[in-house]
Amino acid sequence: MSSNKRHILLSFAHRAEAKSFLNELPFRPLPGLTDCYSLEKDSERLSLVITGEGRENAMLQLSSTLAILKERSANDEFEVHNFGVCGYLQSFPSKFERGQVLSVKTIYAQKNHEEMEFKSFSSQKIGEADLISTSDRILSTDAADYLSNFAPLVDREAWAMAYTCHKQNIPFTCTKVISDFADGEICARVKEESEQWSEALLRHFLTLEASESIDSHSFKDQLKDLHITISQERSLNNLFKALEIKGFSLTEVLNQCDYKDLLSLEVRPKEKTKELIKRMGDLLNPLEKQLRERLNEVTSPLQRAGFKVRYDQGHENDVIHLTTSLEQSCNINQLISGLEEFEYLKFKEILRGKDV
Amino acid sequence: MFSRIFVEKSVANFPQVAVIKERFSKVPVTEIDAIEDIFGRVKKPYLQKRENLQLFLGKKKGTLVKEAPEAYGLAGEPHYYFIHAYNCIYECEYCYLQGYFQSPDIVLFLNHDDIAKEIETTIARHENKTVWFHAGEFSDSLALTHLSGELPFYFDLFKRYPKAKLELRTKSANIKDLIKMDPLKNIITSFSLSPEKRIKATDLKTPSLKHRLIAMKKLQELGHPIAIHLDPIIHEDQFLETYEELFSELKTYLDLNQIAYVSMGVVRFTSKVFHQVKKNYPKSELLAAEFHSSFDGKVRYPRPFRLWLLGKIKDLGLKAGLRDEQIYLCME
Repeated sequence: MSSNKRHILLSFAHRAEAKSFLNELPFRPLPGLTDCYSLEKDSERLSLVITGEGRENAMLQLSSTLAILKERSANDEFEVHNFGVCGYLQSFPSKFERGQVLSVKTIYAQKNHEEMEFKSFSSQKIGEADLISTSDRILSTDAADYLSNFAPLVDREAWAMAYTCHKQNIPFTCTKVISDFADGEICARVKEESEQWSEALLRHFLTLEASESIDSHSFKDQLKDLHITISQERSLNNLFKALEIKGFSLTEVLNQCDYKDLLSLEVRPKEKTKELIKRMGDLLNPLEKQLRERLNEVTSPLQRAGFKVRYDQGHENDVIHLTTSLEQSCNINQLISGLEEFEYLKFKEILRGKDV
Repeated sequence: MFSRIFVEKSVANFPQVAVIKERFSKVPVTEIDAIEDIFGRVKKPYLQKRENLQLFLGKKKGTLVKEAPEAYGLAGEPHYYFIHAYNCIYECEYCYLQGYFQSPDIVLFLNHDDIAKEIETTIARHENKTVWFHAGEFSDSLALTHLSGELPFYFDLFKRYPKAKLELRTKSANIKDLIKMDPLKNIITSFSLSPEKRIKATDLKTPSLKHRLIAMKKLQELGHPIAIHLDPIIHEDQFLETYEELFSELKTYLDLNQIAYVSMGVVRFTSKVFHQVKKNYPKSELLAAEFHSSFDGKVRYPRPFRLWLLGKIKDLGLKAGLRDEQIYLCME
């Protein structure tokens, strides 16, 4: 288990909620882990964890499972998808029905009976309704009415799972089936009908799976002739995303950056990547390139004379910083003539926006 | 428009509440003790305004009139803004309200009497000076006036203080209530404008340029003073051509000579807002722009570009017939 794969961890609070998943999909228990299962597919890995009820259990079990899975599959790209039942607060204005399967948008938490946690977490995908993870089971109408000011759905665990994922920078999504009306008479009935809810969740999951396609053609595949360091990969990724917003396809970017010519340069592979980053930067920031060229032109006497030239970040001041080293007395005259030749007023005009 | 209305008990009997409830008769109404019991109590994502926008009606507590930041308006005169609403129905990708209140829900404060008292105290503090008041620092000044209904109140107030000035800042074309008022020289409606292409790309859900120009023309014809904010200026290919076109349309619809002032400002963000833009609009053109972290921590174009953009637009304005003294640079 060492190659880089998408790794989806399905999290459930109760075994009954996960029953159909465990029965219908070829999950096997993961050695050394309690209540944790996995199955391997060609393109991705699936794991399943049962956390137990309540926010503390959910947070502890999910974080320890993630830690162990990450140790075992360090290169995997993890995602957590929580499935489970939830209650519906009937005093909320929008109407929902029992048995309805919903993607959750934003998850809030109840701090105690009369207070809400400020922190909220949003699902990575488009959701249909918000949910509150409550501190206790809801046993009174007053409590239900107060909570319905914030969201229509309630559970006990999703917020803790979302928080755990947020802390570990792992994408989190949440799907719930409405099993009851959060009216205090839930437990027995939910247990009785648990098979039905678990089946509904599995059906939803399989639909999701079928509709998702994985784009395996990353730009990195197309740049296999280059040596790309991790930080360069990040820069290339950001530049490409920004150029994509500007309407460039990868092929167009490579053409505009004269990629073929770049490959023929007689420099080290890492330097070629550096040059590609520079060219992509110029393509993205034409004004900056123009400004750099104009400043180079006006400061060329200084550079020829042996000065290193530096400016304030963002050119916020009309300042030019010059550094140099003196080795021989004849250098002094060279520096003086460089300074004399330098047109400071022209430099200032450029920084003041004249004909940038 | 609204999925739910929360009404603070303190304003439950205000006539405007009845008007709003009648207008949204199908929207559920919940009475609450205080806005802050619900609003901002949890972090509600900004884009929930698209499907789950709630309206809160109540009283504003604390400071109601605040000193405006430097370079907020015409230089040399004291500027203040007053707070009678939070949040906006529009969705401009660069808007600083993203994440400002931790909730995109609209709050309308109905205790205009209290705001008026503070305005009067502020005017008294600046005896013999022209004091500016801006409505709409945290909202659009006109977009919801047909609901909030405060315009007659502020027209009455500023009629009594002709030396003080009120600016209503807007991106809307909602002049329904405004045209019912008798124009006052000291109440200026200022419209934020951008080229049409830019409005479509980044000023989501705002009225088109044409609708705004028609509204401005109507106001000008009725004798209401109007002003223009060319803010935020965003660079793009064909930037000069699009602004040339904008000025030409302005000339077609308006008497530029009668425009009270034209402010110009280049797009800028606090780093917090820029982070929100990335989160809320990951495909926004703004994220491919040539921004840098600037001297004050704000994210903006490097200074030479900003000055170049402002210089070029000012030139276009002068060419279109504006006078130098009508133009001022905002937040620069």
